[in-house]
Amino acid sequence: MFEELLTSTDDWFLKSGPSCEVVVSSRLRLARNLEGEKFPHHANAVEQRKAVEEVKAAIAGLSDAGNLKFVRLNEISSLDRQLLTEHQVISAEHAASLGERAVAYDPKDGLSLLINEEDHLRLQIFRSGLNLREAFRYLTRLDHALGEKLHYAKDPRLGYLTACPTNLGVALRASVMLHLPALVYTNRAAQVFQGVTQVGLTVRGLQGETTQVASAFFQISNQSSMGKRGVDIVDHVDRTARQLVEVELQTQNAIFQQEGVKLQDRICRALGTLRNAKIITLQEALDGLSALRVGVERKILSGIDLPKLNSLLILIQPAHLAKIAARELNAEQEAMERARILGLYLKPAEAA
Amino acid sequence: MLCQRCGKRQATVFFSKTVGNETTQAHLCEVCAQEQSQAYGGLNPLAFNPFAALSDFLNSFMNWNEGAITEVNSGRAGSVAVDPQAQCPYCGYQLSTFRQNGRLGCTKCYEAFKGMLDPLIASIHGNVRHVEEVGEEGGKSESERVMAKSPENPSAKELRKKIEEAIKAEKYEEAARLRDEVKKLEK
Repeated sequence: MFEELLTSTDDWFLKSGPSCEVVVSSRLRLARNLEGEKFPHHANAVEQRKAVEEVKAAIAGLSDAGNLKFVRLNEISSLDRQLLTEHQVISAEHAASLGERAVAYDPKDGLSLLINEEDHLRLQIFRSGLNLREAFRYLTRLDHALGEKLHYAKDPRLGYLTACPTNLGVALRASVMLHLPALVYTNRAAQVFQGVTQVGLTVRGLQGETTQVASAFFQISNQSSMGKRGVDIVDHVDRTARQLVEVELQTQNAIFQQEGVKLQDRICRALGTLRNAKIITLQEALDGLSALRVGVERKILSGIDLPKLNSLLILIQPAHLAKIAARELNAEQEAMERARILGLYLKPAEAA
Repeated sequence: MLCQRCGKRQATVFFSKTVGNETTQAHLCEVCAQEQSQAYGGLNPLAFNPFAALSDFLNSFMNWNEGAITEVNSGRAGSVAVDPQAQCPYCGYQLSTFRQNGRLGCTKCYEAFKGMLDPLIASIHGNVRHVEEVGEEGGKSESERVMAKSPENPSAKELRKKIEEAIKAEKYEEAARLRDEVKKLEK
């Protein structure tokens, strides 16, 4: 199952978006629940099933339902669930939770409708680069269409009622994944993030919620969505991301002026390592890809582009490698398969 | 358990008052708890430091669960803790479970545990109400509205000229920003 995810050529992350030299992706998520029903974690199997069927029927009535693939997560293997997680179709929590849960998704559009994750329905959309505003308009339309069919739990004072009180209000999380290598290199990241926190946003590592900060990839998102309209939250995150883009590019310019050859050396060595290694860990690969991104962006490297590097960020994850190899892999076999894929994809790359 | 003061409503708040060496305790409903708390200068006894992180809130819940009472607002004569046995009448969810996982049982829990949740919600989100989205596509953002109103708002034509200048000066970031502004204006 899901082999199509390994070879697709028109997934959302293969497109290049605004400010993609620094912004990897933009993500929006709305949380909705069915009025009077138990939240998924407290519901029994019958109640969970009822929520899945109700939401599924509403999704089937959407005008663009034809592009959505519907999958019951309790009916697929844990490897497949991990694959969908790595592919950003579902969340790690959705993959790991028990009971009746499902997803309707369209990877071309970066759209996922998660059923029975923490809330009955979560509408999630990804865009390549910094593209929150367009994504918000799209997701709001979809939310309205589903809201006509489903009875959303909503309180005039608290807004949309969610399983966790932190998500109340318009129940929107707007996130932007940024690549900030120059800020990390100059030890300015912590200071800059302090500023980001002060304006009411959260900073996290590569895969969001729980994972550690990986390499120079960071995600910023709003903390609260109560007392604000979604459009203003989006605006706030978007403006903060733009400032980070600007600071990162300025810092890059400064360090390349000062120690250009040294940085070129690092980038070209990273290419050598990633292209020729036979065994490579995920962390080392991510660090290397971080360097290659700078190389591509500053035209030090040719023969590869940012969308291709985006797809490598996903393909070198464990479940994708196991799927590509079409067998279970132990840690060493996985590291070998990762090196093989990197070698294959980076073959056309060279120092310009 | 019914409220020990009015004897009518479900008790959801555990109230404790210390004067000198004497401590009095009571299981109260939300209404009575509110009235009692006003006797202490009208301060909401459940309002914690509004700037602390959620994990701190949940940790303080955990503390409440362990002892009978923990001084939530130290330095005050009275303190209120929530009865961990309180249950949602709609779904049977217990507050003690919420303390463990930070999640409620059903959409009606917000109503059932209102007295305990409202101060918590105010602490997380600030003292604000939900604001409705306007328009089918979410409407215009604050900055877009300001831009549209401003009399010195540059026209798309002027912005295009600036873009050309920025490109000539190799200020590509500036050009990209201006291009976004033109797009916004043209919508």
